[in-house]
Amino acid sequence: MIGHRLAVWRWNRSYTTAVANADVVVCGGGISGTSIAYHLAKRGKKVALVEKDSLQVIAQASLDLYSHLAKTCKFRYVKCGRTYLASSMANEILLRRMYSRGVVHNDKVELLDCQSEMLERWPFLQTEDVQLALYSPEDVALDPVALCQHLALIAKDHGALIYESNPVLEVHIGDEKQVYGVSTKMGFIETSHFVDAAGIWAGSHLVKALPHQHIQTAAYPCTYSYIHTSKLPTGSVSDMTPIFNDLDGNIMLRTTSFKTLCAGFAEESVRPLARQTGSAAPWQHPEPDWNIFDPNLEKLISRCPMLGDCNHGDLIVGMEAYTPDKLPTIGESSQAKGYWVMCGMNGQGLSLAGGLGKILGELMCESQSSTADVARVDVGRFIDLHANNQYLIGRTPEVAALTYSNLYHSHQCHTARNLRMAPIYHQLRDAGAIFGEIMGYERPLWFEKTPKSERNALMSGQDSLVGKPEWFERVASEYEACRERVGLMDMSSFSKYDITGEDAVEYLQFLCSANVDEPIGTTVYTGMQHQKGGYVTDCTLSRLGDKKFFMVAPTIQQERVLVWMKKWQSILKARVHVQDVTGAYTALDLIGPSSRYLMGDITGLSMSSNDFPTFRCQEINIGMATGIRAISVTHCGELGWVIYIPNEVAQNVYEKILEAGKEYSLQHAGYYTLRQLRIEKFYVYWGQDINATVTPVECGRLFRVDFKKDFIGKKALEEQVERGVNKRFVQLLVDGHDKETDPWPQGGETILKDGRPVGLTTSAAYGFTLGCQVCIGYVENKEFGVSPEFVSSGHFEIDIAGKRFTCRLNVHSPSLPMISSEHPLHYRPTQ
Amino acid sequence: MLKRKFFHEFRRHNRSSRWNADAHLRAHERSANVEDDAIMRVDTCQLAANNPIEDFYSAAKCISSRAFLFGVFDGHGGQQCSRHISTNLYPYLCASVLKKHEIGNYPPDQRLEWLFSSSDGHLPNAFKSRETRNIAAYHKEFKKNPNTYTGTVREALKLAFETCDKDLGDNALPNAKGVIDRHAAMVAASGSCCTLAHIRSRHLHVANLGDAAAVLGVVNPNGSVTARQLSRAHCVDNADEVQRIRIAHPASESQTVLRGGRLLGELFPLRAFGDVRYKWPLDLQKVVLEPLGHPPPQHLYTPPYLSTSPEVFYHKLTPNDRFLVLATDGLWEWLDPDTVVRLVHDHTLGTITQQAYVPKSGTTLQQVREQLKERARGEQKTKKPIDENCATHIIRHALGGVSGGATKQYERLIDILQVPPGRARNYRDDITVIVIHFNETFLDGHEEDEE
Repeated sequence: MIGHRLAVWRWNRSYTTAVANADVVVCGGGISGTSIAYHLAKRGKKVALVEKDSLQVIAQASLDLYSHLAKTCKFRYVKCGRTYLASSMANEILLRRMYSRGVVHNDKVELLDCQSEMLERWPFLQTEDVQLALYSPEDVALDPVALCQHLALIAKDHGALIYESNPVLEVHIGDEKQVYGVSTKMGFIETSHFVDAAGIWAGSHLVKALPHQHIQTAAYPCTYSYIHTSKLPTGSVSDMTPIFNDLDGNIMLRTTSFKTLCAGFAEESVRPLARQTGSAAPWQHPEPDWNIFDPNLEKLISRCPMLGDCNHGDLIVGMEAYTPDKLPTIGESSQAKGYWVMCGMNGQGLSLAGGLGKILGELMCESQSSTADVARVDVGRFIDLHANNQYLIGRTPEVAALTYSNLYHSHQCHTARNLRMAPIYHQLRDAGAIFGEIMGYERPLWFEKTPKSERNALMSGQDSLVGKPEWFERVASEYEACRERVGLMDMSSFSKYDITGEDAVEYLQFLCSANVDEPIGTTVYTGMQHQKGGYVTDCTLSRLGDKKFFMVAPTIQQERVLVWMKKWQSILKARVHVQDVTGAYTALDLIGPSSRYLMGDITGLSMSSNDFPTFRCQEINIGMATGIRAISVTHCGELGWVIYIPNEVAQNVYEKILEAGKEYSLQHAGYYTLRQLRIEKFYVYWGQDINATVTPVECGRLFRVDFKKDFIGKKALEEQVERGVNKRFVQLLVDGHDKETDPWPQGGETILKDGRPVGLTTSAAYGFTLGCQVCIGYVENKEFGVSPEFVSSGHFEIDIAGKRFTCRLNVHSPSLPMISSEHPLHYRPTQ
Repeated sequence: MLKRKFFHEFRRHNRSSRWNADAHLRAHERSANVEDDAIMRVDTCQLAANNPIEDFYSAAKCISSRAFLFGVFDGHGGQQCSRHISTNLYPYLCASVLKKHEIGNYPPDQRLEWLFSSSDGHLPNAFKSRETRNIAAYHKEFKKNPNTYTGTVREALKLAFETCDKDLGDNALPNAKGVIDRHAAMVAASGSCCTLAHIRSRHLHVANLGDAAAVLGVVNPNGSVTARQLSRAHCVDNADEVQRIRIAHPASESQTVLRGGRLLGELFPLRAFGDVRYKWPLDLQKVVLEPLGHPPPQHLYTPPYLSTSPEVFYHKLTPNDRFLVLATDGLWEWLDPDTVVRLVHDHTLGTITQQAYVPKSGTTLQQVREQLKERARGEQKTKKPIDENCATHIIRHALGGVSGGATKQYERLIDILQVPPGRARNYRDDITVIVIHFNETFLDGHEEDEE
C-alpha cells in the first residue's frame, strides 16, 4: 500500500512543474468533476483536474449506494432494471404517468397491477398492499468509482491533466471579479475558468476578494443512510434482480447475489450536516444512528419480511449536497467571472452528472446550451436567500426525503417557509389565503371560503393527480369574479427593475426584440432574446420617463435577468443603471370588467378606454398615498390594472381598495385563478411553457418582434422565419374528460397525432368558460417542420397517466364569451 | 440448592456494593432551594481524591447588593489556602459593592449572609479581629477610590481578589516582634485556583483564576442544549496566558519561565491565590518560608511570576439560560462541557442520557427493531435518573461513563471508588461540582433593573 502511494506521488510530481496554466481548472474528482473534465477535454480545451485526495482514496471514501456493486476495478454496468411500487392512489397515478412517458421514449416499461404476478416474479416481497408496480428494465446499476476513473482516463487521453492529492487552497480573482488563477497545494495554476465540482465541499474554496471569502451556493449537505447487509436468504435473487423503489414507504432496496443494500428516506432520518466552527471548517461526519433509521427499517422489513432474518450488517451514513428544489445547480456564478459551479446533485449525481457535464461544457464554450433548457438547473434561478445556510439547513432535509418522489409544478415544501412576505400578508391570510412559495415569496394560491383563524395557511405537498383538486370550487368562484366583476390578486413576487440612464433607450432596443422606443406612458410587452433567438426572458417595459423604464419579469427571473442585463451593459459599455426593486413594491392586480370603475373611484381619475387604454402606464395617487405605478396590463388577458404600491403605503392602499371594492363585489383571487385565466386565453409563461430554447416564432409571438431595428438574436429569428419552424406552441382543449374521476393534466403529458407522439404539454388548467381541461403544449415535427396543415389535420390526443383523450388544437387565442359588461377586445396574446 | 444460594449471595453482594457506591457518591451532596431572584435551586456535590480533600466550595449572598456569590476552590500543595480563600474571599467581595448597587447602609462586616460552605466559616478569634481590620481598611480604600467605587463589577471583583491575596501574603510576614504565624505561613505557601460566579439580578459575572471552569447551559429553540464556556483555563494550553507570562519577564528567562508545561517547571495553573513562593522575592522567602520547609523554586529571578488578577466574563442572563455549572478541573478531565450540559439538561427533564445504539454482532435486522423498541420502552420506564441531586448525577457519569447502561456504569464506579482517598489522587483529582438552576419565570419577566 505504501509503495503504491509513493508511486502515485511520484507520478504527480512529474507534472507539477510542467503545467502552470490551463484553460479550465476543474476542482473535484467525483462523478461531476470527471464528467465536466471529460466533456471539456473532448472539445479541445486544456483542462486541469485537481482533487484533494487521490482518486484511489475517493474510491474508498465515496462508497455510496451503487459503489458496493463492483469490487473489480473495471467499469461495471449492470442492466438490472428498476421496479417502482405504489400502494396509494396518488402514487399509482404517478406510476401511470411515468409509464405513459416511458412508452414515448421506447422504453420497454411494464405495468403490473396483479399482486400474485408480482409475488411470482419477486417472491421475497410482500405485495399484498401494492396497487401497481412499474418495471423499467432499462435502468442500470453501475459503479460510480470505476465510472469516474474511466471518465478521467478518457479525459486524460484528450490531454486533460489530473492532479491527485492536490487540494485547492485558494481561487484568485482580480479586476472586474475575473478568475485569474488557482492556488493548489502543488502550486499556482494560471487559468481564467474554474469549475467547482467539489460535491459537498462546493463553495468552500477560499476566494479572498469576495465578501464572505467564498462563493455562495444554494446547496447544503445532508446525510442519507443505508444498510449494507448479506444476501437475502433465498435463491430468487440474482444480480439481475431489479432495484425496488417503494414510493409510499420512501425506501429503496437493491438485492444481488452477494449482498443487499437498503436505504430509507424518512424525513426524520435525514440530518443536515454541521460545521465545527467558522464557515470554512470541514464538515463533521455524523455517526450512524439506528434510532433515527428505525422508521425506514420498519418499512423495509414490512415490504421484504425476509430482510428481518439478515444480519444487522452496517448502517452507513453518506453525505450528499442538496438544493432547495431538488435540481442540481450548474453555471457561472454571478459573484465572480469565470467561477463555474456544478454541484447539488441531490443524490442523483450518477444519472445526471454525465449530461450536466455536457451542458456545462456547451455553456462554457458556446455560452448557450443546445442540448436542453438550462433554466431549471441554472445557478441564476437562485437568489441570495437560497444560499443562506439557515435557509438551507431548514429546507434540505425535506428535499433529501423526497429523493425518490416525483415532484410536479404544484409541489410545495413545508420547511423554510414564511420568508418573503408582502406587507399585507396577514390581511390576505385573514381573508382566507392559502399560500404557496416561489423564490421564498409567499403568494396566495387560492382563498378559503370560511377561514379558521388558527389554520395552517401554507400549502404543502402537491395537488391530487386524479379528480378535482381541493381548490376547484374556490378557484371557480374567484375565476367568475375576475371574468364578470373584479378580482384582487397579489402579484408582488414578480421581478421588478428600474432601468435609467443616458443610453437606456438604445440599450433596451438592442436587448429587446420589440420596439420599446414608444412615447412616455406606454407599456410594451417584449421578449429578450439570446443570440440563437430563444427567450432569455419575457417582460413588460413601461416607459416612465425619457430615459427611465420600469420592467416587470417573471418571479423566477429575479437573478437571471439582472445578470443578463448587467452582462450586456458591460459589453455595450452602456450608460445605464439597472436596479432590482422587487422588494420595494407591493403589486396588486385588479382584474375584471368592473376594475375600470373601481380604479376610477379610488384614484379620482378617468379610467375610460380613451384616457387610460390598455398597455399604458402612469404614476398615480390613491387616497393619500403617492408614487403608485399603475400599468394597464393584467398578465392574464383580462381588462384591468396592476398597481405597484411602495411598500410603506401598501396597507393603506389595500384597505382603501377593499373598502371601495365592496360596491363592485370585489373578491380576492389567488395565483391559481391567474393560471386558469391565462391558460384558457393561451397566454404562455416563461419558465413554465417557454424557455431559452423557444423562439417567438415557435410560440406565435412573431408579431411582437420588430425586425426594423437591430437586436440580439435578430439574425437567428430571420433565418427561422425564412426556414419555418419544427416546433409550434398550441392550445389543447381536452374532450371527454371527467373532472371528477379522471387523472388531471399537470403539464408534461404526451401529445399524440394519429397515435404517434408529437410533443408534450407544458402547463394545464381547467377552462371554466370553455368548460373543459385546457393545456398549453408544443407539437414538433423535426423532419418536415410544423406547417398550418400539420396542426389542422389529423387526430390529436393527449395521454394523461395512461388514459388517452381526444383534443382540439388552437394556434391562436380563442375568443371567450362573457355574460356581462364589456369585452376586452384589445387582447390577442398569440397570433 | 447450592447454586441458588450462591446466586442469592451474589445478588446481595452486588446490591450492597451498588448501595455502597451510591452512598459514597452522595456522602457530600447538598441541595439548596434558593428561589430568590434569578436563582431557583443549587445542587452541589464533592468527591475527595486527596486526604484531606483540597477542594472547597462556598455560596453566599451579599446583603448590600443582593448579589449571589458561588465559588469553587481547588487547592494545591495542601488544603490550607483553598480552605482559607473559600471563606475569607467573601468579605472582600461584599466590601466591594459599587455605589450604584448599594442597598441600605450596611457596615462591611455585616453584609455577608452564608448559604453554605464545605469548610467551616469559624475562625480563631485572633484571626477574626485581624480579618475584620483588613476588611475595614479595604472597604475604606475601596470607597475612597472614585475609579473603583463608581466603576464596574469587573474592576471591583479584580480588586477584591488582589487585595484578598495581598492580605493573605502579608499575614504570613513576621509581626512587629519578629514572630511568624505558622498557620498564616502555611496558607500563603499553599495555593488555590478559584472560579467564582457573581449573580446580581440577571447580571452574571464569572471571575476565574486557574483551571477550574464555569459552563452555562443554553437551550436552543429546537429544544437541544448547548454549552457556553464562561471561563478560560489559565494553563499552558491557553496561548494568551503563555504570551502574557512571556512578555512579563525578560527574554533571558524564556527557557526557564515555562518548562514542561509548568510555571518555573513546577506549578500547573498560571494564576492562583497563595503560592507566595512564586510571588515573593528570594530574600524574603529565605527568611519566612525556608525555615518552615518550603524551599524557593529554581530560576526565581524576577518575581512575581504568578498573577492573582482574575479574568472576568460578563453574561446577561436570558430565559434561554437554564443553569450554570461550576466545577474544578477534576471534573473536566473526565467530561467535556457539552456532555456535562447535556447531562444536566436531561436530568432536569427527568430522563437518562443514553448513548447511541449499536447492534451486537450476530443480531438480525428484525432483532435490531425489537431492541430499538425495547430501548424506547425502557427509556419511558426508567425515566427517573438514579440521583436526585444534579451534581451527583454529573459525578456519577464522569466516573462511571456515559455509555453502556446502568450495570456497566456501576461496575466502573465500584472499581474506581474502592480506591481510598489519598491513594486515589494517583487516578483522579478531587471533584467539586456546583449546579445553579436559574429561575426561568424571573428571567422571562420584565426588566425593572437599572443598567
